[in-house]
Amino acid sequence: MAEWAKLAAAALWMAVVLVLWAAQFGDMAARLWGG
Amino acid sequence: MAAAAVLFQILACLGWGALLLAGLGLDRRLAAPERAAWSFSAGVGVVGWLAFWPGIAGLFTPAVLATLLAAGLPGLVRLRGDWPRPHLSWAAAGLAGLMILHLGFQGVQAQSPPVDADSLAYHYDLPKRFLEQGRIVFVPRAVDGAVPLLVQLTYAPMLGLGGEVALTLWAVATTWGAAAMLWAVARRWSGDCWAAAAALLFVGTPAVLYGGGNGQVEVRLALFATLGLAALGRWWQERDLRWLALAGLAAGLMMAGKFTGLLFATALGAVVLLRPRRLAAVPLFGLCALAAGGQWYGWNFVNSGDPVFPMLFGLLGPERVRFWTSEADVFFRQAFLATEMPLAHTLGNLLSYPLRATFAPLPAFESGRTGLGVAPMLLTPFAVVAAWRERGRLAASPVAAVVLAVVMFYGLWFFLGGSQRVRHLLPLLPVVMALAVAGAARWATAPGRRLLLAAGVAVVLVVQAGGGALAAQWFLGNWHGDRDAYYGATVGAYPVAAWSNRHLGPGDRLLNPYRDINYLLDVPFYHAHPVDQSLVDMSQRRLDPVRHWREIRALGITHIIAAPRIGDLSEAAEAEFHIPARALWLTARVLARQGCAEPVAQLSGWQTLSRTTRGTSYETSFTLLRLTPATCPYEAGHG
Repeated sequence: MAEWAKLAAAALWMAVVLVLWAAQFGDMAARLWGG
Repeated sequence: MAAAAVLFQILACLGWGALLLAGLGLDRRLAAPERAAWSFSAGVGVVGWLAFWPGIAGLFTPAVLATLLAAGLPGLVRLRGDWPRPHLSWAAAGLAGLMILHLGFQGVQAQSPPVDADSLAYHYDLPKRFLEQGRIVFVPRAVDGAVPLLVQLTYAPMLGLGGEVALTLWAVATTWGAAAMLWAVARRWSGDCWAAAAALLFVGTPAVLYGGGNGQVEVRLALFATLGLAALGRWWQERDLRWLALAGLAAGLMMAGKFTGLLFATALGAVVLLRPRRLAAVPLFGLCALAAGGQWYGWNFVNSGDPVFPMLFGLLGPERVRFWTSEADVFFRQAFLATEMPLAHTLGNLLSYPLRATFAPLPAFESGRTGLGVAPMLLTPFAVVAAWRERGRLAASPVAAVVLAVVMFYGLWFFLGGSQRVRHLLPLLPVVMALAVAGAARWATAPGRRLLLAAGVAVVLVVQAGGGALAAQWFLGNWHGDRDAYYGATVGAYPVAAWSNRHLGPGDRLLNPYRDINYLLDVPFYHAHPVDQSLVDMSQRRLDPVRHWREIRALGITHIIAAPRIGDLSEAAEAEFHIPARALWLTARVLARQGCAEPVAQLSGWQTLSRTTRGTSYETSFTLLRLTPATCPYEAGHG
């Protein structure tokens, strides 16, 4: 596997994990600022 | 005074830990920064262990505790050595900035009175009572009374010598002690900078933001868990039994800090079994664990008949276990244990739990607000790739022993533990974080990889710092030096504590069903928790005022509480309304009607469920009643 492909796979993994994690903040933000 | 007391105990812990390491002949086997971190971790345990003995001998006084601390100070000379020069870089400067930011957040919390419910219920309340009575007393409550209390004993010198602010500062100090221990372990595998990033990822973890700055024990237990796992790793690599003795002692400290420490000791013991020379190693490990952690199990056994009160009740029976009944046991298992474990004990759930806890948590996991963050999930695949690449020499490295023990503990915890709250795994998080970051750093050998990894870690660190700011902002906005206003807006039953402290005396005794005012009461009380004690039957199944009267009179109770206020609910609403401590409320109303109690105060307050999110406050109301045995038909010998 080429180095660029490994880097791309790693970046994709990080993006997916961080987006899934951040998705939980929607509800939290609503409770924080929703009053 | 508070800061001086905390500094005194920090130095004492460093000294005692250094003496222990020197006694084992291990101190010179550690570089100077590692020696300091390991010494502090071990020293917190030594201080908690030592305080037990004057405690049960009736010598639990600030003077004795101060002497005990002072005796450890000579050990400080063992900490001399060469410290590495700080390596200056942009990354190091950024990490230092984040560290200062987190210290600031924690400082804001530390100067505010403690407000965490568990801390008010027992972490801070029990040391306060032990100091009042000059001895450790057996508290016949499951979950938050008759439990191993080594960590809480380290709070007593703080309260006795420095007061309440010392308590909260000590929480900050031990949180950073755990971070330092993480750093000391991780730097061997990944270098100082990545190790510092791992330590900051730990400090910003939601569960640490939640439990680091108060009396929750998990962050403090991380000191012992990291020490035990690191020592186990050194033994695995070097075959020197002195490391194993240290691992056994640390496992014992875990046992003395929480019942789940038994699972930790079992996990480490199982790893010991995998090595040759088991016949010498296993007894050594077991004896060290027993010496460091057996005292609380003996204490429970002597006082109640059950070393893990009340978990062996079903096995030992009511004739052998005191302070517990068959009814209480059934109710406890239904009302407490069943709600703590929503996932069935299957292999699929064991494997999926980390994913669910990170991305789609059930409420019982409490990982939405007190979870372990995203960093382990983010970094572990990279660590796995690095481990696969280095698989040839992995089996002989300390990492093998540490990973085996962590996996073993996780399995035992999932199948045998009493709760699926993710924060109960927190003591092992520093080691997991160290492994994940070190593994990922070994994967990131090329500049492009390093940049990607640094970017991912930086995103998490920044988001976590935002979490730290959120956690701190409540304290900044609510603590203005007025204790009544502060607690009055937060702790729903605070008006009961305030009224009782003003109007009751040493001859009175309050029946208190509200755990979060235990610490705030300065008058005698009995904490009648609805689920985890049996001396007053608080289960909501039936109304039996005669039995209740007999139980509360036997405890010398003079005042009881009804909430909401008697008269605030219509008869129809009563059946529908969920009243905390319903049995007590119904009894209080009957006692008032029968001439057994008279109202002496009507109170109201505000309960805030979340300090971070808005809109979680609601009004509370109470009737306080004074018992009137002279006119009560239930009183023994009465007409």
